[in-house]
Amino acid sequence: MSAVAAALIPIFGVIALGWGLRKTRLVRVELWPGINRLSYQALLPALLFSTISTAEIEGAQVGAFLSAATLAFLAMGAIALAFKALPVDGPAFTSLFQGGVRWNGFVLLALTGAAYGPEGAALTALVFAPTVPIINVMCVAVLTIWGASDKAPNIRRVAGRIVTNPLIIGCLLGALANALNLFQTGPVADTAALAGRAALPLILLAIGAGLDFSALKARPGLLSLSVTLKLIVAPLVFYGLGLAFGVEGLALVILIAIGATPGAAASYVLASEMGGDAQLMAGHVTATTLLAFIAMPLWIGFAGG
Amino acid sequence: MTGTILSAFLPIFAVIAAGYGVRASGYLPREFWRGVNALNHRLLLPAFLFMVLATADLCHPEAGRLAMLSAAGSLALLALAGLICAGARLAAGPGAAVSAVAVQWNFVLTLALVTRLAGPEAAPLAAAVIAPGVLIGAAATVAGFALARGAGLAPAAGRMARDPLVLAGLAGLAANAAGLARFEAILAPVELIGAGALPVILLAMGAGLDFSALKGRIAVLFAGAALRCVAGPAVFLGLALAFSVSGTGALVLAVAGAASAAAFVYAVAADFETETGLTAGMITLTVLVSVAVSPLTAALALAL
Repeated sequence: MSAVAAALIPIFGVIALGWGLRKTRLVRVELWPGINRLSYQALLPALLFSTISTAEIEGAQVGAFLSAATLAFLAMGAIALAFKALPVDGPAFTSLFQGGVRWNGFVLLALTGAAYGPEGAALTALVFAPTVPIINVMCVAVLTIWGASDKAPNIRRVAGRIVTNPLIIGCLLGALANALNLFQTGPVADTAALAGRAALPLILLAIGAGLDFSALKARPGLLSLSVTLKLIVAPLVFYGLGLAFGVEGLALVILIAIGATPGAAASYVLASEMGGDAQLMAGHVTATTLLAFIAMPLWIGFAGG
Repeated sequence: MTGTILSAFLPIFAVIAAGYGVRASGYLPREFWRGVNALNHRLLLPAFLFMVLATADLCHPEAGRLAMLSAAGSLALLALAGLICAGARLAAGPGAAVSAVAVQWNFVLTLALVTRLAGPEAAPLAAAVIAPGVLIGAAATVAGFALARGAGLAPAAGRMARDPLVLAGLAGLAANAAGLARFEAILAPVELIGAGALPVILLAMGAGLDFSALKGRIAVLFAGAALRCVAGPAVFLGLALAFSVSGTGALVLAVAGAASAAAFVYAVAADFETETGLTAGMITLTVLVSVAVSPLTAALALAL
């Protein structure tokens, strides 16, 4: 069995378990926000800090990798914008847009850590810092223009949320510690590593708990289009830009895998809050989560991983 | 040796303190922890226990003796708690809480500390101590609260048999006997969850600390904490000495004896709606006392 397939089995198993826990009400729907919040606000920042602060990073290759990744997200935004020409309502378009640009980095973090070790995990973790703000700004802008919400978005609040995003703070502190050679060992490093160990299992369970199969029936045409954008167009864009920037080896494999990750659950929350098509978004997240387990190994194999 | 013990204990207690900090500061308020606690009780803790028992080398030459000493220690503490409760004429509710705190030591904390101190090779010995300790402790806890709630023996036994921790313990031992550890693909998802369980359980322990619950009923609070953190290490270390157990075996027994009470006890108390405040107070006190007692007991055991 390949390392990628061997890493994907437990990931898929934990996601399925999360769905089962919610479906059987062993952990009821109303209890999951607390689990999500602990993961996003405390455990994932600790994991990102721990992974990045102790990573052995080579400047030139990482620079090209991050540039390609950042540009690829912008390119996906531009491609998704082109679909505004289709005769679809504004809220549905915003969900199509979010489906094209948002990625679930945590599934990939679990995969690359298990299949490629610390180097793979560190490269994946590094992508969060520059791309989380860019993706959020793009999605908020599109939802502000085409969303159906009556309320005007509070730009200061949105900006504040981006600046104080715990994931970005975790990445930046990790990069700073790495650059200054701080907290490589000792109680801070040990505590962050210990806390971070819980992040991925919890977030994978939460992803499973959020799956909504009934949403797959809503607007099948648009859903197929958003899934195609995410799992077929995005990997090609990431791969192409990686080649253009001279990225190779494991970094190129991770670039194509970023493109092939499932949609992020956060897109459903944003669609619900800002007048997007939340049902279409839930369908997109569910469909891409399931199909990514076929798409990711295929694209990774294509890139030589 | 002091440096080794401190570097092993510090991150564990730092994560517990971080759990308390994020809850007390309002960063993750109390209501958000309900889901985490439910996940802990129904999935993470059982998955962790299952993996420990399913994958441990229970044929280790010391395993059988340590398992017997662990069972003897737990039963001795249960008997001691019963005597104290009878002597003090405690009602059924507080009595159940005191007995549960005395007998249900925190096996997650024990395993984390022991493997940090003695390395992964200590895991089979820890599993041998954990298996009887958890099964006796969980059974006594569930049965005690069920009886205090007015349930008869049969319903109490039924609740005990359905408890996720008891089921996971038995399933782990059965999986071990069946050699399930060889089938990595089957165990992989449980292993992934089990690996993440430790920090969540430690964080939830910290978040569950309730200093306001320390007010009132001081004598009962201190009786529970003394049974767990003073009588516990004395009984377990005494058994190690009496049966000439030394080295890692003595360390595992000592750390188990001195560990704080398991947060699982609170989950059961809440489940039966019996003495939740008192139970929370006693667990809080045992965590605080174990911060000082555990390293000392570990040092004593290593000196044996």
